[in-house]
Amino acid sequence: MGDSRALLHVNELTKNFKGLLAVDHYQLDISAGEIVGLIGPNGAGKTTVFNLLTGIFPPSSGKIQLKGQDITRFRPDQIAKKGMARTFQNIRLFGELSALQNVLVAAQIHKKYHLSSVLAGSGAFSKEEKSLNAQAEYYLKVLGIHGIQNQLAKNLAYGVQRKLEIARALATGPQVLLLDEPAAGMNHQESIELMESIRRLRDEFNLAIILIEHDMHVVMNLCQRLQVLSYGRIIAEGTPAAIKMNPMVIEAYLGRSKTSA
Amino acid sequence: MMNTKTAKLYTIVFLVFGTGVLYLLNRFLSPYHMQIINLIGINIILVVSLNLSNGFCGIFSLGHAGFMAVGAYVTAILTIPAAKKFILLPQLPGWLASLQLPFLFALLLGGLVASICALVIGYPVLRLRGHYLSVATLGFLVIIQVFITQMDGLTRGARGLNGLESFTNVWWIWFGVILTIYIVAKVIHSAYGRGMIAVKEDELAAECLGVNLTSHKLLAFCLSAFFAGIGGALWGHLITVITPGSFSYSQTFNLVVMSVVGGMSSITGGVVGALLMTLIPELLRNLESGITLWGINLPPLYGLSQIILAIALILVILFRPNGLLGRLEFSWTRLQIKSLFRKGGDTTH
Amino acid sequence: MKKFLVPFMLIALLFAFNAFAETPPIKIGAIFNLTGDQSSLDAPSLNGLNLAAKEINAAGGVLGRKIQVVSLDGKTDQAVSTNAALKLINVEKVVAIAGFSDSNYALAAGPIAQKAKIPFITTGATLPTMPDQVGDYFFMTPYGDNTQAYVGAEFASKDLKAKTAYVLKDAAMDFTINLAAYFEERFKKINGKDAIVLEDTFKTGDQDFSAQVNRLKALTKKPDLLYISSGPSECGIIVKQIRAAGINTPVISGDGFDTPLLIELGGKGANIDTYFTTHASLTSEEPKVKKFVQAYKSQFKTAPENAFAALGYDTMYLIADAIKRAKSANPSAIRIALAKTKDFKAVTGTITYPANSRVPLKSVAVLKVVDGQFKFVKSVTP
Repeated sequence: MGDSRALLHVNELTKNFKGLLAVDHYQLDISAGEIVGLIGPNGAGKTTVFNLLTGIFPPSSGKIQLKGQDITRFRPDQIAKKGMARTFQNIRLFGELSALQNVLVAAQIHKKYHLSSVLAGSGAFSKEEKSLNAQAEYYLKVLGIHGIQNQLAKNLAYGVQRKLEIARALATGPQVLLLDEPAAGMNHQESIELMESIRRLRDEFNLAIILIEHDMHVVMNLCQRLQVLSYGRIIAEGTPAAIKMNPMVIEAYLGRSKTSA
Repeated sequence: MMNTKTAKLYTIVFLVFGTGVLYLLNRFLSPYHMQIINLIGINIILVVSLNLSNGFCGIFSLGHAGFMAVGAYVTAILTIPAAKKFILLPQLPGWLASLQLPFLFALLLGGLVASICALVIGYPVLRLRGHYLSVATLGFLVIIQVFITQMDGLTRGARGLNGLESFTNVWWIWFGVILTIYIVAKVIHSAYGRGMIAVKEDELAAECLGVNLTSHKLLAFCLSAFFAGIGGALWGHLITVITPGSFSYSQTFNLVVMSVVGGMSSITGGVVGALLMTLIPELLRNLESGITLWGINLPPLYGLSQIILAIALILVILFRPNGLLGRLEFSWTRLQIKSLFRKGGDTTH
Repeated sequence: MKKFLVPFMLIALLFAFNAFAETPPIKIGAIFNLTGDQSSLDAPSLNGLNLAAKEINAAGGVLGRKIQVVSLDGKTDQAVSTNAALKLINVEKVVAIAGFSDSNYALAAGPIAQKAKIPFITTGATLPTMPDQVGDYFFMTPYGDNTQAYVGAEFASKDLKAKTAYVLKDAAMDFTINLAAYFEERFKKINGKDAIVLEDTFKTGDQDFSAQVNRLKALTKKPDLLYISSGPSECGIIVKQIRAAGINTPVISGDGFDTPLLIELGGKGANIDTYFTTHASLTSEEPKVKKFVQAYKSQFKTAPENAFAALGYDTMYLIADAIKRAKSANPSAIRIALAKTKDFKAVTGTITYPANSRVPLKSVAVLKVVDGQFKFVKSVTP
């Protein structure tokens, strides 16, 4: 049944797509400061879990509880407001907006003005806009990409785009952050830097982080706990060391990873 | 980077200057030239509002003329004097038959009713994507036309309403243009506008970042409809005749062409598109009637202006698919012609 | 300074010479929907207008001056039509404007001419309430729909001995709604208030009339006459489907039936007792008609497409006649002369404007379809 006092408590989460059981009784309890890794072969259902958690489609059964509130049927924008944000496997930046504007879209989630202030051009409006701009710049700085803030997102280098995705998700002020393959396409050096960044972010913002990754080096060094998913089911859960040794996992999945630990 | 106070000052000076120019033009130009200026102004209102939903928010609506119709008819019914209403529309319910409002209130009510229609049809329809959405909005246009034609107790059906008071003049239109550009610009440069653009760029990502899709789409759609209603009402009281056919698919199409040519995701683009595509056909008239150029007698070629415009549209789509202005916006700091032709780059102001 | 004197004087002489060389033409404006849906009616109208102007000029013009037709395209667009009117008045400075076969456009342009006190004469719009609505500078060349509908009702009652009628009307067109209403008004006056057994509707663009035909067939009280109030695109189809259902009751309509489409789409069914009222019979033996048809053929290499061509022709002669009688090309003088028009012999009949009315008293031609041709039956002067 897990610990319903955890920051994020997921119980018996199941998703059935017209006969295809994509996610099968997924469970998770995670608290602030924890980094949990979600690994498994392609098609195991990892991103589907993320989609369920962030409300992109409803589960067939099960419960999701964030900060004690049942968010199982919430819309994605409601979940983001509640405090859970994510990045995407295939980068989904707003290409025609600048890096700063991308982060602004996220930062404005808790904006303090209404339409009337906008139309009246009131002081409250401009003050809040300044504040939001400052916040957005701050998140860019935190990810070390402040310099390109006025460039269009579609023109940025790949690595920078990945960081922007994270800065953006961070700007919604979440307590739980879901990172979907943040190191994809990065070389060894970049992956290590990213690892450090994620650790720093976890410390600075006291985040609970769930990480989907194929890069085993990152996974093993960053995560306190791992969940191994296969055909939608958790087949193993434990510390990286334990998972490394798990014969079932080794046999079926670790052999297929991109880089060995 | 110019500071906002200076920019505001420049804008106010420009508005005063513009008002003065219009005053002089109104005094010295013939009614024919003023009519063209009036139509340009009305089209600016219509195209800038179209850009809000189609360009900025990605809701490719083909129903704009439907909202024009709603605004035009509501305003007309409210401005026709009671005595005339008795003859034209004998079946109006009592309260409506005796109601006659000053133009300003009738105009605003016309816009309001149009935006309420947008709210009602937007709710179910805005969930649709891409082509389906466009076709659904086109369906709305057809429904409005049929409604106007059938409810002839309210609208005089196919016979239309004629002899409307020609309230519309350059000052009402100037007021409408300023109001439209002001409100649309304010919304675009706020969290709401950013949300709309995000919805257009990537709906899924936007939603996961806390952007409520429905409320942003509805805001874009309803605000766009509000100004379409006002534009339609101004049009109706300029031409003084409105029939269900006045607000047809081809009206919408003309506006979409102006929007595409000028730049769908730009307020300045909307202004430029409206200006060019209203002015050029009139100028081309001179060619159409047959002229003598350097001794060569060119025969009348009716339909020439439509052909030339169609070719111009094709060229724009081929070579500048984002419109002449793309996503560029006028700003006092960038008052350099160079920047109008630089692709991509800085989008901040 | 001196070296400019000679060239300057030469130029001044040139201008002076030019001013006396020819008297300026009388500019008549023409706005027609030459592109768009209305073009099949308006283009022949303009042809007729231009043909008349050519003839008048060949005979020496009016008041010693040539007529110059300045023609603009209304593009079947109301806003464009108003622009055209304004251009003709303010830029071209015409003394009168002729145009349009449809009231929606005549009503857009008319008020502008009225405000500028320039006579506006519509060649083909037949809504009888227009002139009173727009003002004293607005005239109609054709008769009103009330006139032709009344003639239809009288013809049906007196010549075809009909006591009861069925009415089918296009509910989406101004013109057809009015036509049907005027017909019913006169038919009921003659035959009693129960004379209309059924009034049914369709809308412009419909192709399948089986529902209406079935309702007609199902009537227990069979009507003596079918009044079909439709525009040119549906008339043939409707007649064909009614006749195909075995209903041979006589059909009467208005000038919406004055189109080759009636024969093309009506097929053999149209040859059975199908009548309509229109502005002129172009196959008539009357010398004036024959001369017009002949002249049109040699100028445009085709017979006049419809009566609207004749209406355009008549309008030009009407304006010229008014100018002659007024002995002036001044717009307000033209208006006064136009209003006094009496017994003006035109291709489409004899035109008289009764006192205080700018809807002409004019004869209505009744035509019948015989062997795929329009045959003149009679002319009725109400």
